[in-house]
Formats: sequence, C-alpha cells, structure tokens
Amino acid sequence: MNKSLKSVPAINKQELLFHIAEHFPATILSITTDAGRSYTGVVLTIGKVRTDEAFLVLQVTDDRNALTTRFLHLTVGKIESIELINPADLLSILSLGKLTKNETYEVSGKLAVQRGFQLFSEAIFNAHAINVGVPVMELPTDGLQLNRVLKLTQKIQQVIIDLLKEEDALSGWKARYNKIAFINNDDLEVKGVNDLVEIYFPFENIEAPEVSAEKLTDLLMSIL
Amino acid sequence: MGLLEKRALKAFQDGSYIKLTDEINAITGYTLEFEVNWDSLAEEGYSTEYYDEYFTKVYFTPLITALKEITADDMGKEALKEALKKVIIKNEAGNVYGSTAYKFGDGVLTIDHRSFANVDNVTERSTELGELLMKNL
Repeated sequence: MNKSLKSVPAINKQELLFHIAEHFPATILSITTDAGRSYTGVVLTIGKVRTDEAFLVLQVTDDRNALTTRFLHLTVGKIESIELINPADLLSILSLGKLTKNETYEVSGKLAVQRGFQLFSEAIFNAHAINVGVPVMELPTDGLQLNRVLKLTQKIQQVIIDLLKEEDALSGWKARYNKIAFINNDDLEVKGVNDLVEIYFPFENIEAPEVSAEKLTDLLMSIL
Repeated sequence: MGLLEKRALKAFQDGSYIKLTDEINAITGYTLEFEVNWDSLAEEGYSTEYYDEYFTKVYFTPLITALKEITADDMGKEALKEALKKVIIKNEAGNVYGSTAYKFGDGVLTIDHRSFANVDNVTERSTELGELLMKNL
C-alpha cells in the first residue's frame, strides 16, 4: 500500500473534498481550521458560490463516530488540514479514483478455473448467441494465481459481453473468431491469429493491477 | 469398548457403512479407499442406538453432498479421480466444526470430527468440505 501511495498525484483540498463527497461520503474526516479548531464528521455537501469560493457542510460526529445533530458550515479556504479516519480505500481517495487497491486473492483450484472458463463461454453465448470458445490456458499450480485467473476471466467475460452489444463488433467477431486463449505475459496485448483471439496479460502476477476494461475493449476492437 | 458398542459398530459396518460407501463410489465413478478408526468413533458414554444416524450425518452425508457437487460435470469427475484416492475417518482431535475437521493432502482426505457433537450441522460440514475439496482439485 505504501509503495502505491507514493505514486498518487498531488491534489488540493478542494479536489479532495469534492471527490470524497461524491465517492466516499461515509469517510469520517477530522478538519482543522486556520483558527486551530478541529471538527470531526462526514461531508454532507460541498459546493461553490458565485465568488468561486467553495464551502462545505460537515455533519459532526461524536466520540464514537456516531452522527450528531450538529453541523458545521465552513469555507474550504479556512481549512488548514484534513485527516482521514480509517478510510475505506485511501489509495482511491488520494488518487481521485485513478488508482484502486489491488485485488486480494483467495485459494482456488484448477477445477474452479476450468468451470469458470466453461461459464465464460456459456455466458457470452447466452448474451449474444456467439461461440467465442472456451478459453485455453496453461494453468498455474499456485492457488492464489488460479484465483486471479478466475477473477480475470470473469472481468474479461464482462468486457466481451459489453463490447459485443455493438452490432458491428458482434458481426466482426462472428466472421473471424471462434477460439480464445489466455496467455501469461508482462503486459496487456490482444492478437487475432487466424480464428483465435489471444489475450496476453499478467494472469499469474498477483501483485499486478487488474485488467483495465477500457484498454481491453480498445485492443479487442483493434482486431475486429 | 463393551460388547454393546462392538455389536452396534458391527451392525453399522455390515449395514449402513456398506450402503454409504457404495453410494460414494457410485458418485465418484471409481473405488475410493476408506480407512476408519472404528474404536475412536465409539465414544464412551453415548447410546449405541444413535450410531447409525450420527455416524451417517457426521461423516458420510457431508461427503456425499460435497462429492455430488464436484462430480456434477465430467471436468469435476476427472479432477476428483486424479486428486482424491483415500478417505480417513476418525475421532481423535476433538473437532466439532467442519472448519477444523477436514484436511486434504497427497490424495488423502482426513475427516476428524467428534462422532456425537454438532450432529445436525450437516450443511456447515458439507459447505466446508466442498470448499476444501474445490481448492485442491
């Protein structure tokens, strides 16, 4: 986590508070004003007035972090510091959603992955009446790596289902491909080889980030 | 172990045990080796009239349920045949929950659960056993 936090971009208080209010409204904040007073609570609203000055309304919490009927209306410019108390996803908050904490993996067996591959094919067929094939892959033996393969399979499945909602993508895939393979690799790549779609990704690296749906969609579109 | 317990164990071995292992072998599609520590199953101080019901519920019904789920397709049958060779049943460590009663390694499933405790927790044991087997297949 600390290593990931070093890569978050610098942001100002206003950006941070807008992001928290929109995406993590339950995050408890301890706000210290430039007058040296501290208030703990959750952001109710944050907005800008005509003078372009941002203000926020904080619902104050008590010592046990329970919400009270006390509210603080404060200009963002008066805030000296913001402390985040037990945030759900600090990495996402501080990166304004650009980064998220890595997926955690449990142990899976090969059978679960093989069944996941079968379901992958069936789910896409049920959604679009197209046979993309059952993924072929040289499976790792480590249970955590197998769990990552299983989770990635489900994500890739969703990306393909979403992509094939477009008629031209569906007809392009139908015309060219009926097999699919997952190949362990350092980077995300997609290749169309005859009737086979090859998806390269760090399937076995449990420290690597999850597959980006956007990038995978773009790469799949490039071979259709 | 007294004569009463010995007779009750024999009755179970000659009756339900054969039926249960036959059922299990029919589910798996191959013959599983069973090793049962019968002496440990016959806990002192418990009525022999419950042997049949309790041994079945504690040791065999969860196994049957888990194996049925795994062998629901050909992939599962093949994976099971490759991985599970033997089942050991005993009552030695004093385990009373599925979370601690099952161990799997080197093709051997060990079921070590008290024979007269949490008898009706069949679903809990089935779930724990199913998850353990799935992680190892």
